[in-house]
Order: sequence, then C-alpha cells, then structure tokens
Amino acid sequence: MTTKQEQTLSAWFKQFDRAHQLSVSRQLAAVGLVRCLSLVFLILGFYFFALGIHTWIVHQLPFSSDTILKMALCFLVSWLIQGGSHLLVQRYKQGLLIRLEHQLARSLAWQQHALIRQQSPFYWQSLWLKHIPSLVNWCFEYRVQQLVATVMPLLVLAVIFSVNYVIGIGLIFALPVVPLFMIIVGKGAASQHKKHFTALNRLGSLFADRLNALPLLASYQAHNKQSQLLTNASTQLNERTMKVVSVAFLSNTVLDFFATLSVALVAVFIGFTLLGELKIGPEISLHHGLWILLTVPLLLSEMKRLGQVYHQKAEVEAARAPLDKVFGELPPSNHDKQERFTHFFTNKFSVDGLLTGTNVSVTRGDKIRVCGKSGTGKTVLLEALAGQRLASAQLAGTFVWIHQSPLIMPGSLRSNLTVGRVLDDNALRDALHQVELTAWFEVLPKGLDTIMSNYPALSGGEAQRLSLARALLSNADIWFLDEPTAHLPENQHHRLSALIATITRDKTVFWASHKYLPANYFSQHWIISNKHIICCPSEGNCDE
Amino acid sequence: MNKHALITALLALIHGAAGLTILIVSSWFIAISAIAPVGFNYVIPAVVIRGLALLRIASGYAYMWLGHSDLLRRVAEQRMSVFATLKQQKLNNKAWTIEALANHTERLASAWIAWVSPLGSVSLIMLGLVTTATLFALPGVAFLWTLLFAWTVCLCRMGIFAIGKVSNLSHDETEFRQQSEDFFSNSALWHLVCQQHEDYEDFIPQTPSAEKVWINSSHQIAGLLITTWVFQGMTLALAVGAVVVGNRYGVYTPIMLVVPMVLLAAPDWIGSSFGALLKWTEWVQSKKELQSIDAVPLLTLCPIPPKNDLEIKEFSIHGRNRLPINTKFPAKGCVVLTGESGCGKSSVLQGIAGMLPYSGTRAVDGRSLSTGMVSGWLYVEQQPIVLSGSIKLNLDPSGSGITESAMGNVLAALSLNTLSDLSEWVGNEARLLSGGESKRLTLARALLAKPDVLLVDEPFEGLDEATQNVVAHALNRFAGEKLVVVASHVIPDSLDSGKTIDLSEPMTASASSIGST
Repeated sequence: MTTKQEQTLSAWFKQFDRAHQLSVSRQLAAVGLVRCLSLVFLILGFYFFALGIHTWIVHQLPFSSDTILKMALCFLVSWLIQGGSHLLVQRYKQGLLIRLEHQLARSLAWQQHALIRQQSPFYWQSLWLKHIPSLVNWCFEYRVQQLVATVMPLLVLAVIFSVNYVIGIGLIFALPVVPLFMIIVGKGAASQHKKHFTALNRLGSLFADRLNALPLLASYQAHNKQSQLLTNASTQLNERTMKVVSVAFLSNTVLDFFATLSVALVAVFIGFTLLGELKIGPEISLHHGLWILLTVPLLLSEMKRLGQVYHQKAEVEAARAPLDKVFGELPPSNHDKQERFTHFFTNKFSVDGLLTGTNVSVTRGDKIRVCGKSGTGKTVLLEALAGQRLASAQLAGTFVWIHQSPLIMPGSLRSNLTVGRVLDDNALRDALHQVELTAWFEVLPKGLDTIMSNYPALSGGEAQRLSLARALLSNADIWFLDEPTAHLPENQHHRLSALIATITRDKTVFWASHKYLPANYFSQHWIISNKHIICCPSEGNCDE
Repeated sequence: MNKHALITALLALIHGAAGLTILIVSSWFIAISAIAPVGFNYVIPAVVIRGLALLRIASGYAYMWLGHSDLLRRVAEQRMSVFATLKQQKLNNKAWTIEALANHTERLASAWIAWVSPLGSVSLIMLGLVTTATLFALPGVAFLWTLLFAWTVCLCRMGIFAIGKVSNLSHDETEFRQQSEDFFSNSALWHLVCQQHEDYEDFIPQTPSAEKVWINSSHQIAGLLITTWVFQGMTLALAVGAVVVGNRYGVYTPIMLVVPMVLLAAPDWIGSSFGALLKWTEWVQSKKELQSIDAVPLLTLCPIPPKNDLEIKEFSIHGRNRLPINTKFPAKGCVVLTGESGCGKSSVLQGIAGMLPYSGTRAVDGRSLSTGMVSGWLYVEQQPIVLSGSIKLNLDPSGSGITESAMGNVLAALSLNTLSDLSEWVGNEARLLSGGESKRLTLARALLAKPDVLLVDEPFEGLDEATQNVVAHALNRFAGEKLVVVASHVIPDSLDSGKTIDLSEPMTASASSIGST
C-alpha cells in the first residue's frame, strides 16, 4: 500500500516534471550524490582518526603528522562538500519555486475567471503559499533523503564487510535487511502521521469551524454548549488517537532499538574479540574496531532523518489534487489577440468532454442568445469560446465579459474604468454618458478621482452600468454577457437590457440569460440541453 | 498538569544522556580491551553498555508517547481557552486568519515537545558533561569547555537572527495574503488587462508574487543550516585540536579517547537544539499573535418580544452610505425588504438584529433599545453557516432540548426529507449539503428556536420555484404568531407579505407609511 502510493506519487511527479520541463530529477541525483560524497569523506576521516587512536593506545606513540594531516583534510573536505550541498539545495529550491510560480501565473493568465471562480481566494492562496512550497520541499528534502538513506547503508555495509565480515553478517541479520527497514520506517511513519495528524487536523478544522460561526453561537446562546462539545470531542479523539498512535510509535522505536542495540552489540563484540574472549572470524585491531564503531551509527541515522521529513510526503499527497487543477493542463500556444474578429465556423465543436455542437458558426456582428436550464453549461460554453477552457476551437479577436455581479474595485472611478490602460478623460465621460450614468457622475465630489469604497453609494443597476462603460472603453469586438441582469428587479432588467441592446449594436454578442429578452435583437439562438449545443435561426424560441 | 510535561522533559534528558554515555563507554571499553590490563573486569562495562541501550530505547518510546499525549491535551486546552475568551464576540477576520489561529494554538501547545525538552536536555547534558569532566580532570577537558562556549555563541547568534526573521516572515505573508486576495477577487477583470498584451507572459508582471515570502523563509532555513554547519565545522576542528594537544602527553590512556569521541559525535546530539530554537521563535510569534486577536464584543440584551410593534427611526448602518430608514413593523406578520442587490437589505436586517453598528433608533412598543443583540431575535444569514457536526447539533446548537419529533416536523415542513437522519454528520469533511439544503437547514434551525423576531436574508435565492413556495408557506405559518422580516429580491406570490419596503427608492417617513397602508 505504502510502496504503491509512493510509486504513483513519484510517477505523478515524473510526469509533472516532464510536462513542465523542470528537469528536477537530475538536480535531485546531483544533490544526493554530493551528500553521499560528503559522508564518504567523513568515514575516511574516521579511518584516520581510529588509526591514530590505535597508535596512541596500543603502541603508546603519538599520531604521526601524516595521519593528522590526512584526518584533518578528510574532515575539511567532508565539511565543505556538506556546505556545498546545502547551497545547492537552497538554490535549486528557490529556482523551482520561481519556475512553478511562473507556470502558475501563465495558467492564471490563460484560464482566468473560468478557473478562479471555481474556488475561494483562500483556496488559491493556500495553493500558492502552502502547496507549491510543500512540493518543492518534498523534492529536495524528502526525495534526496530517500536516495541517501538507500545508498548509505549499502556503502557502510560494504566498508564493514571489507574490515570484518562477521560483524557485517551480524549486522545484516541483527538489522533486518535494508529494504525491510525502509518499509518499517515508511509504515511506522505513515500510520503515525495519518492517525496522529489527521486527528490534529480534524480538531483544528472543528475549532476553525466554530470560530467562523461565532456570531451564530452568540445569537443562539450556544457558546457554552459548543465549548463543552469541543472539549468532549477533543478528549475522545485524543484518547482514541493515543491508542492507535502507541502502536505506530512502536515501529518507530524499532528503528531506535536497532540503532542503539547495534552500536552496543558491536562495541561489546569488538571489545570481547580484542580481549580474546571471542574468536570468531578474522582478527580485529583497535583501529578497525573503532572505525566500525564510528561508522555503524551512519547505517541508521540517515534512515532516521528520513522519518523526520516524512510529513513532507503527506503534505504533497494533500497538495496533489489542487496542483493538478492548475498545472494539469498546459496553456495552449497563444493566439493572436490583436486580430479583428471576422467569423468563426466549426462543424465539430467540443469542450473538454462537457459540451458538443455541430456546425457552429458565428459571423461578425451576430447577436447570439445562449439559453438552457441553470447548470447546463452556458458559462462553460462562453468561457470555451473566449479560450479560457480547453476546447476544439475558440474565437480569435478581442473580447469583454459582463458577469452577473458587477465588480467594482476599491480604487478610484478612473481606475475602475481604465483598468490599467491610459485613456483620455473625455473618452471616460463619453462612455459614462452612453451608459446613462451622467447624472450620477455629475454629483460625485471628486469626479473621476472619487474613490469607490467597498460599499459604494451605487445601486446594483448603476454598478452594472459602470461595468458596461468599462466594456465600451475596452473597444472589444466580442461581448460575453453572462446573465448581466440576474440580480435586478424586473423593471431595472428591462431598462438595462434595452441599454445593452443599443450600445452593442455593432458588436458580436453572446448573451446568456434566463429572463425575457427582445427576440428581434438576436440573430441566433443557441440552446444547450443534454450537453449538446443546438443552434437555431433567429425565430427559435428560448423561453421553454 | 505540568507534571506530565516535566516527565517528558526528563525522559528526553535520559534518552539523550544514555545515548551519549553509550558512545563514551563503548569507545573506552574497546580501547581498554585492546590493551587488556591484568584482572580487568570486562563483564561490568559490557552489562552497562547493554543496560544503557535498553534505557535509551525505553526512555525514547516513553518520551514519544507521553510527549504526544501531553501535546494533544495541551492543544485542546489551549483552544478551549481561546474559545472561551471569544464568547459573545465576533472575529474581524478573513478565512486565513482563522486557520492561522488554529495553527497558533497548536504551536503554543507544542512548546514542550518542540523546544523546551530538546533545548533543555541538550543544555543539561552539556553542563553535566563539562562538570563531570572537570571533576575527574579528564584529559582535554578544555576542549569541552570550548565546545560549550561555541554552542552558546551559535545558539545566541541563531536566536537573534531567527527572532527577527520570523516576524518579518509573518508580516510579508500577511502582505501577500492581502495582495493576492485583491488580485483573485478581481479575476473577472483580468481579461481586460490581458488583452492589452499579445502574450500570457505580458500579464505575468501584474500577478503578485510570493517570492518575498519564500526568500524570507528560505533565509530562515538557511540561517539554521549555516549555524548547524558552522557548528559542525567547529566540532571537527576541535576534535582535530584535541588529538594534536593529546599527542603532546607522551602517555596515552584509553580515557583520552573520550573527549575526541564526544566532539566527533557532537553534531548528532547537539545539532537538534538549533532546530528547536527555530521552534521557539515561532512560539514567541504565535504567542504574540494570539494576544492580539482582532475581536469585537457582541453585546446581548434581555429578550424583548414586541407586543404591538417594532419601529426603526432614522435608521442607517455605519459605513454603508445609505439614506436613513423610518418604518414600523407589526408584532405579527411578514414584512419584505426588497430592492436590487447592493441596496443594503442585508445590512439593515443585521442592524435590526444588533449585529452591525447603526445610527438612529430601534424601538419596541415605543421603548427604544440600546445597542446590542436582542436575545430571541434571530438573523438567518444569506450565506448559510452549517456547523460541522450532526444535523441534530445543527438544529439545536445550544442543546436546549428540542425533541427529535419537533425537528422532524420542521424538516418535513421545509421538504428537507433528505436530512431526516438526524445523527448524520454534515459540513466540512462530511456530507456536503447543496446551497438550497444548507439554506433551508439554517432556516429550520431558526424556526425551531422559536424567536420573537425572525430576520431572514434572501431565503429564496438559489431555490427552484416549488421549493420557494415551500419556504414561503413555512414563513407564512410562522408569521401568524410572530414578526418575520424577509430581505429578498425574489418575492414568490405565495408569500403573504403584509408590507413591502423597497430600499432602492429614496425613502422618507411619509413614503414608508404610504407603503404600509
């Protein structure tokens, strides 16, 4: 189970790596290699140290200056390489973060509102601040550690075997073989993590849930009851968790057990051999004995460290679905947006398994009404035509959206109209005039520089007019209207619809709406039902 | 309470000390075995080594077990105390600050296991080692003193560095959260910006970047790595130094092995203390954040059921820029506040409930009320709040003992038969209710509480026509006894509204009284 998940996770990442041309695998191998190299020099340093101690104790002679020099050199090299590997990891991590952020920005620029509207800003922030870094950490900490923890025991065993095969065989038997160990660590950490941390998470979300509902609890006078409930829930959950976790900790202790015991037993074995009490295998000197004693802890310490970063794997598991949502599809190559829209025809139109249509055609200046019950995919269709979703074809040209709820940004009126473009004040006034906002505009205290607060003295109808003015100023060919009058009362709806009809006379318009609209305005009616787009001539009837 | 924590710390100490002692005794043991003096008793050291190994394993397990059990209990306690201080309060916060609050409490609770025990045990072991070595005049004891000194310097340096970084980090993160929240909420306008460019790449400069946060947090980690690395270098250098100095002695005893061995192993048993220091800085930060929770008290008034009428005069909500409203609601019946979206229907309802600050007066039967929420007046939110818990808990959050049959009746009256299993768990990470279901569930909760005044925000939004009628009937029935004020831009014909107030029209006292006739 664990290994299977492991495979799919790394297989998933392999694909991810290839799709986004991150070439992380090579960097990963490089870091792993450097880390191992540093440990090799450390072991070499231990060799010279043990040699010197041997001459001290057994021959009662000082370290030769040659030995000291070699030992110091090995330690220095090992230390420098270690520093280098830290540097490498930091640089690779930062690089990957920046590249992923860049890809994210590309994805956002492509799918825009079609993607963002599906989740709350909080969701996207979590993706950005938590999931992306957790992927990067997993890559350069967990996976590197995994590599080192696999290579190092083999290396250490090789050293020990070359010195004394009895201890080598003993270690292989005393410690379960390396892969088995990996499973123990993996399983132990996995179940510990799952049980322990899901419990903590669940309590955390329960806590956050009640904090969100504070005013509700106050008005129902439910605070005491809920607080008691939370206490009970945590006590119960804690008791249950501790029962399961006790077992999970055991498998972690097994690792500690072998690590400690192997050092102790090796020490006793070497001591007894030196004393002549035990005569198994080749002769052993203090030099070799001490070297083995110093090296044996390395057999397990890297595995222990793997257990310490285990949580990173769980975090990536959690991040996988959100990351796939954004990075799953690569943005298609850019179409030329500067081109003026002339016409569009496709005999087989399909939107990523969501909608299909045959003989879909649009000519410049068409007014197309899009209808269908709610939830049939009117918005999806418009988004596909605008190129914000994967579809077999999309319109070429500039477009503008008017959504259900007009978006008024907190800045000035001018910035709300220009949205970053440089536009002449007269053009702004003219646009406000066209959408019949002149009377409203003239009483504003600071004219175009009036700040629109979060609660503007602007009615829903007025706000929608403002977004129409913004759309007019964009000078786009194609207008996507997604129920622009949904939240307005009947009489407002009629007035605004008539206004839209007037100002979009020479545009290409797609208008999705439930409400009654003048039929003579439209040149086509597209009806969506059963995931299919039916294109009707102008007299087609939308109002079921 | 603190007994558990102290035991945990003690166990950590035993675990660490046993590990280090094994190393010292083992190396000494094999060294002395190599020269095997006459009458050397090898049994005792061998037993001691094995005994220490068992002690280390046992204390390691006990430490993990007790530490985590203590952690779980502390998290619960910490949260309950935060929750208790927030009684009758409202958080002025966004989704992420609430999540952060959950994290802060966890960090605060994990103090013992995260930094007190590791830091405490390392410093005690260190002091113990140095003292013992000095008492027994161990060869090379000066190097142990130097190690202690180096460790203290590294620790202080790291502490000063990290404490500055951690508050920077939280500042940058908040900044990015705010920036990106604005950015994401404007996603509907991105296409206008995008179209000014030919390529996706050109839109990217407009996108906020978390780079600053990442660089900051990578600095923090780099600080930890550098400190650990520098310290490791120092110990290796000290080990070499100890050997060089030892060389001058002329006589070499097995005991001389101890100091170099301790120095070589130092990164293993001391290294973790630097990570613990980072946890300490996080703890300090969390403590600070928890002390400055941005909460507003919600005053609660005694129940005041209107006998004749409820009147609002020159009533306007702070910060909403709306004309003041004057109107009178009857003690029984249904009144509808209507008007297009953004005209302030919802805030007026919340103002009447006393959940938003207002100017003007609310008066019951001619008696004006002070500010605050009136018990027994319930506001039903536009965005339904479903508590994660059972349906029963959602219907009776205060545990006032509403019978299951009463719950069943109300659910049936709102055609919520799909929720008839009252023990079913709903909300996050359980059964997710549809918008319409959540809406009716919260209405059912309000109806069951039998409020004196029921203020309902957009109850019909997102419901199909048949369900709208069901909800309208339920409201009609309740309005037979009590006052129901509904804010809605959709008004089904089946709703018996005695009076409709259109808030999109400028309103004066006379205009509203015309509406009421």
